[in-house]
Amino acid sequence: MFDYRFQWRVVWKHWPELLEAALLTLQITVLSVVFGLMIGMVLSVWRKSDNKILYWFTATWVALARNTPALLQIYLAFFGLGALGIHFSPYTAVLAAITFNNAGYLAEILRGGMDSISPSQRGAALGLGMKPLQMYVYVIFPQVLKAVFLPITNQIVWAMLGTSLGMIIGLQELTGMTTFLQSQTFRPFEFYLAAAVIYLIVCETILIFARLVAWRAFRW
Amino acid sequence: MNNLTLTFTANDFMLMLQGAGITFVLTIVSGFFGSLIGFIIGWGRSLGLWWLYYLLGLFIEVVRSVPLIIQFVLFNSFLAIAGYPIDPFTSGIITLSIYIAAYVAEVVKAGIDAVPPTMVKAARGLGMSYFQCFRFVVVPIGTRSVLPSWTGLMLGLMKDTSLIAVLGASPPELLRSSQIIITRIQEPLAILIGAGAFYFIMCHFITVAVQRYETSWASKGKVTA
Amino acid sequence: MNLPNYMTGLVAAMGLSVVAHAAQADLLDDIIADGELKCGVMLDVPPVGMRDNDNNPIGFDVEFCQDMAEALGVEATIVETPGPDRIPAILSGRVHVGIASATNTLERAKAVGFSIPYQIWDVGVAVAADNTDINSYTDLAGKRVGTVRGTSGEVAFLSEFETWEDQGTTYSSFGSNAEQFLALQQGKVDAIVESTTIFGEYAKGEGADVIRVCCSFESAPSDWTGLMVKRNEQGFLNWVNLFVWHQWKDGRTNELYNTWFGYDAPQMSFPGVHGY
Repeated sequence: MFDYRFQWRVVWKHWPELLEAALLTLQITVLSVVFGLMIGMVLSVWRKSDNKILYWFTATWVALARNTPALLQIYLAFFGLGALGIHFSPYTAVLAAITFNNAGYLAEILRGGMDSISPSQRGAALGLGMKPLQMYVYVIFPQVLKAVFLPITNQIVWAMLGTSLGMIIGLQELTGMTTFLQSQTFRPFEFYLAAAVIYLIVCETILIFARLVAWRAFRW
Repeated sequence: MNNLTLTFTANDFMLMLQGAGITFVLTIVSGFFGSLIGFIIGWGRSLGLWWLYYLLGLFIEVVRSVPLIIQFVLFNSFLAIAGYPIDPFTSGIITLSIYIAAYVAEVVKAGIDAVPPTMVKAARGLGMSYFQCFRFVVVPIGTRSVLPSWTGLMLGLMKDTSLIAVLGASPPELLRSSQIIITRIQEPLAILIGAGAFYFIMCHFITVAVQRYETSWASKGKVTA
Repeated sequence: MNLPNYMTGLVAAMGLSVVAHAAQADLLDDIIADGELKCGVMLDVPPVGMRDNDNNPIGFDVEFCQDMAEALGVEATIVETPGPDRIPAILSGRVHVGIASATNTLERAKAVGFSIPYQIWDVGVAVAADNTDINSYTDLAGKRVGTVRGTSGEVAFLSEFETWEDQGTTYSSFGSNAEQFLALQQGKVDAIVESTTIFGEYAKGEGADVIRVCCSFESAPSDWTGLMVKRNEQGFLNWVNLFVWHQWKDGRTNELYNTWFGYDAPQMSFPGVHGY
């Protein structure tokens, strides 16, 4: 007995708000992945370092990022730092938390990729007179990124999904906006379905873009 | 007027402990069914039937691109308007199983791909049937290569069970029971750090246990793919 | 007495009752026959729905449900329904009636059936206890404001927000009151907009030295809330309406107001208008 009648008119009426919120989701996702990747590279190098402090700093970061729920990380970035007198806006807090999370996971992914690269390449690069930084930028990471491209795209999707938790601390991203609209119209099914479709589109857009970048960079 | 205690009580600790137990049960049950479904899907994608490959691929893509919160609400509302209301806890477990199955399917496929084709050919050449070869060659070798990724998925699943709270599923799991306490004593930070510690301990021990297991495995004879 | 005839009659009567039941499934009859009234209540909105020390449901809405079950002569079951689950729960029959302080807007009434009003709330502004420069809701221009997503306080604020946005006003839409209060406490927002009843509850407990209830949000109309049932259950809705009316007439509504909100119930008929 499927006697429910879908009412899509009300969703169309609020289409602009949904799109605006989707752009916010897209923006935070892209920024958090870019920053996360940069920090993740540094962490993965430090993880290999002989310096005990750098090693433990990295190990702690990775363990905390991977073993606690992202929601908690967002909460701590907003209210936890707030209790210490450091105030972020909801936008910055979500971006910082998702970046922190991304960096932890990406560092681990990159470390796995670095293990697959023969140590003799380091020797060769250093032997050619490269500085360690040059070695990582020109020799190691291009190969690592290529080797672990798939797990990285997975992480991009995770990051996008993680932004939806930002609604708890006041961010009007796509899930937050959808929740607001459904509470005004009492049409949860229509609005959440619309949001699911938008997420799918945003996700595919990001992935296609990532593949294009990779294709340009790695010359597949 | 109601006399509410505005501090953390022993009762609250028991509620959180029970919540941790529920989190664990949710993880085990949906992890089991999710792995089972994911295994079938991953195996289906390795058969070399292009239409099956893309059909299942579409399913995986959709499930992975939509936030779990939205999947919970959609599946629950869909059952509701279709006239088959089931309690939120069960609908939550089904959603979680389907959700994690999409990820497991990718891992399973990677595991099957990790087995060198020459090895499969050799096994078949020795007179093994397709299923014998799958059971005794592909599964053991594939499992070893993807065990770490699978563990990662299960840890992710444990943290994701917290999102079932959006349905008000009862009994409450760890994060939901923390929120219940927060609503009463208005002390979100301390409670959530406590909840985070619970998660950290559960995840960390599983991680360490699996690492130990892998190490002991590796020392028993390494499989080179 | 002719036994076979008696048996035939009994069987015929049983058969008829089954047919009648199938022919017109009436929710009110079902509830009475099953002996259970399932109420969908939100339990993260003190003081209308919350939990006590043993984490059992209490609050205005919880007691309202228990009263209703008593009037029906059945057992009350409290089902917690978070925001996104409120409507699916009602549509699917997982709950019979939603008692969740829901504002009876015309937009929402397109999706569910509302009873006559059973609570009236006012939207107000609260600031940090040591704040001195916000003394009217118009002072919110240029300030950072926190609301709870989807509440009438948020809707009231948003109607003014467009004119204030140019003056540097920002707003955050939080997931629940717990986050909203914490944000005010930490100074992440200068003021919060919410129903005054909720402020009252908070100010009595944890928020005693933390917040100051500043003022009414005067441009916002009072918030008239109703019980919710499935839209086509007109028969049940008739009974629910009469129940709400009796609660008021018997003084029970007033009693609940005093217990949970600490003041008398306001008039629940809109002046100068027929009906409600």
